[in-house]
Amino acid sequence: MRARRDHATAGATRVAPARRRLGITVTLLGALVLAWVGTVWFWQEPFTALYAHVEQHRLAGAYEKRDAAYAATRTSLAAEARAYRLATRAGQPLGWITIPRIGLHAVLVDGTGESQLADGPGLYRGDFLPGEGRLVYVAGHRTTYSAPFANIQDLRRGDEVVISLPYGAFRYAITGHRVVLATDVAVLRSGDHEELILQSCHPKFSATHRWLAFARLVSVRRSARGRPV
Amino acid sequence: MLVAIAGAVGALALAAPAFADVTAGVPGSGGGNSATGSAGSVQVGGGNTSGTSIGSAQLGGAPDLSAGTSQSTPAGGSAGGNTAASVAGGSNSADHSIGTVQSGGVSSGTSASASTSEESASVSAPATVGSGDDNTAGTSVGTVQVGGGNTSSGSAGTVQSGPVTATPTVNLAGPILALSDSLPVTVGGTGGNDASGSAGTVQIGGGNGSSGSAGTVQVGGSSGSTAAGTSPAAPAVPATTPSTGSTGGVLGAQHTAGAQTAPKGSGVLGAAARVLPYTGLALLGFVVLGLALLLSGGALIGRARTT
Repeated sequence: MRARRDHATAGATRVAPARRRLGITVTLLGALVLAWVGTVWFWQEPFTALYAHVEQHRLAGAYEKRDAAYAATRTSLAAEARAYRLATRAGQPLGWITIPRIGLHAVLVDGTGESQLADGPGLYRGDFLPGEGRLVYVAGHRTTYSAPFANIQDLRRGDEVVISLPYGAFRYAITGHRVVLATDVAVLRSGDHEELILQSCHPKFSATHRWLAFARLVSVRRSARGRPV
Repeated sequence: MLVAIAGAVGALALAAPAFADVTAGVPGSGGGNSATGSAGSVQVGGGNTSGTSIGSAQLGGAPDLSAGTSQSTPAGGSAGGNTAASVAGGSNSADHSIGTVQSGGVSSGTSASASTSEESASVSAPATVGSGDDNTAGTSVGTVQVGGGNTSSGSAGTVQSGPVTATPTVNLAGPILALSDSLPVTVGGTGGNDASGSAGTVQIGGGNGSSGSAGTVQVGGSSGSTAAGTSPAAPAVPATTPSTGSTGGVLGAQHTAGAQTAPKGSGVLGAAARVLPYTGLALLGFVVLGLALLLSGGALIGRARTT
């Protein structure tokens, strides 16, 4: 009887350190997860930010080559924009998007799929390019992948948004914002006039809604290479 | 629409015996034609290219055809008719193609009128196909493109047409009754077609996209396809209110539900996205996970102490 109790006591002393080590490991893991949450909350997601930074660097180089090789052949701005859109594949760099108010200067990517938005702000492929006189719909992450639209809620009426493409630079002015459900795809429907919509998820750490910032076209500056050859 | 053009050309011969006024001009578009390495190419107007092509016929740069006739009747009345057809500018290109036929935007107007001392009647049917934008059909086989703004690079057997509009109008005026009616008909939305990498695609109406598709049929614009198969785009909707605009739908319908223009087509069979692009992060789940791990770890340490 005493021997059996001694054996049980020895087993318990072996289990206790192992359980303690496991407990410490799990606790550390939990602390790390919460630390990561805090980092994302107060700054942004660091790992995907690193990935997006590398991808933006790659895309900037690719766009520089594309821009240098660009030669317009169309006479009208709309036809030129359309030809450029049709010549662009998903994931390719389209141009630069600059929003001084939120400190954004990033390569605009063609497409709003998961892989495209991981590279940078993306142009919805169901809509149009600047210059076509229709809806230009740009989406960007709010907390991950460099969080290009992290502070989209800070945009105010009149704030400037510039989209630079090989055939011209388009300056828009913010006119307002709206929060819609994630399923409200009617906002993707183009009207018969040029309008820019910037989209990001809302609330900041959810995906139930979308924050939309609307902008109207203010001016167009066609680039020298944007004129027909 | 080709019927209308044929009618316009045919009217040239019919009009000749009467007091005919016939003009045919090719103003040109300012650009030159080229058909390097091609066989059997026919090019009219300017700005056409068809290098290394076989059997291409290209039309652009607005050759104008118009004919008019009028004749008096012994009873003091008159009868007459006018036809006109033109092809808008815009350059075509069909590099590496076989059997390609391309045309810029086509417009035609046919009208006829007759009157007596008390009554008059007139009928007109102006019609247009597409715009004056450019067509391209590089590396294509058997492509036919009408209307401008079409592309079908890498395609085989593609037939594309820009948006088609027609507004037949009838006017009757008599001593008792005056009647005027018109029925605007439109097929397709704005913009051109795109069928890059496709095979056997037929697109009518402009604003279609079917990159990477095979065997796609699209009518009426406003659809996109990236999958193999057949994609009937906008269903035909009878015109009920001729006065409404007809830019996005078919046969006078102002806008066909669920047929938003999708230039590059992110969905199949014209289906648009069901949710807006996902750009967020469900951080709450990670908060719960972190707290759960902390509590579990604390519990394990506590049990280790008690043992």
